[in-house]
Amino acid sequence: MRISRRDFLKYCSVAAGALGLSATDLLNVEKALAVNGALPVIWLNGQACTGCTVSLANSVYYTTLQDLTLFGLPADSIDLMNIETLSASMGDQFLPARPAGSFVLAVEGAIPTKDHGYCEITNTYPGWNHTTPVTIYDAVSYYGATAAAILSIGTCASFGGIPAGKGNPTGAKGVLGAFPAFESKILNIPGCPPNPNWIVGSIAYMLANSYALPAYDNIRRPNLYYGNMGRLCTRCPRVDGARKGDMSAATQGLFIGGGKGRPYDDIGNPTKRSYCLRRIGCKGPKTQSDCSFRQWNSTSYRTTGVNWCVGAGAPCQGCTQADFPDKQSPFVNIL
Amino acid sequence: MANIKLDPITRIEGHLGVVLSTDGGNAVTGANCEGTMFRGFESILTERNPRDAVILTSRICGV
Repeated sequence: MRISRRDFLKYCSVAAGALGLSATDLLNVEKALAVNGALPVIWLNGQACTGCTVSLANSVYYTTLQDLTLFGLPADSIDLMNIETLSASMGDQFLPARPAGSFVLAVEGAIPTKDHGYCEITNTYPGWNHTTPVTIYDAVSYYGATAAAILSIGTCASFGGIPAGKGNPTGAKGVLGAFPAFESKILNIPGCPPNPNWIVGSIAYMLANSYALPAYDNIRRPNLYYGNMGRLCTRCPRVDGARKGDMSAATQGLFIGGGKGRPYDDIGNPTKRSYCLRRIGCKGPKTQSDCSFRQWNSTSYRTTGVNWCVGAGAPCQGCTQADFPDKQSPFVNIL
Repeated sequence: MANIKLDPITRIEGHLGVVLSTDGGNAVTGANCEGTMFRGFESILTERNPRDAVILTSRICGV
């Protein structure tokens, strides 16, 4: 099968690391393919569990990660320069040179601030003047200084999350906590993990609006997915009367079972199914996100997901809130 | 006695560096892996409701 020179270069840029190209060659390939409008995105992992990357890889509702990065070269796409979980390049070739124009820095995972250590992302990088290993703190301060926007993906990068839980020995902080000077360009997209639609939707908004951040609430989460939602109960099917289409009970605190019935699904008894989970620790009453109607794991474009935590019978953990996990704990007790 | 350091190893969960010691020629005399990230889950889990352990430890790995 004959392929054009241009197509060959396209495939090269994706597999450059596997082909053994040096950093300089990689840069030249990138220049050859740079299309006016493709937004470079640099993805850094701090103290992460990689759940946010895995969640993003499952994006379907708006578009898949593949469409957004590998083959979507027109202007409404992104150039995902590196992402540790998926990149072919490794070692010295992994971190890209800081782009000259506008670019977006995406950070997953918390940033440790104690002892200048605890999370080293590469040994040394030419041009950084570093003789000691480069930590996530160094990398975020280097790329973040000239980034057009910084997306804190997940609760760990947004607010510190579980690595910043009580008892943590590393001084973990979210990006905003570790770099207050960057506040005006940080957008928090919390969740443990965040729904891939929240990540893709925020990036899509920025592409459509000259890299401007979407409207956000008082802790810098996009209103579209968090702040405007009120609490989860306002759209939860376990509210009394929800099946008849009447959600007014949500604001009156009238939940199925009246809080006195069996607090969890009684599979054998159809009349007792779908009780409110408040009595076993559901944090829905104080959590803002759109889980209750967008749900998770959508199987096709523009289709809401197949289920969500509360729909499956598990109490909400409040994972999009700034005080997760300490103030949302204990997770399975009476609220 | 040259050292080759590959850091980061990609396409894995988390952070890893590999250090190879060679004898100056083509023979590898030693190989070491370095786990380059630490969070301290053991310390974070202390003094919490034991039922929280299920929720918290599942975030050690997101894959």
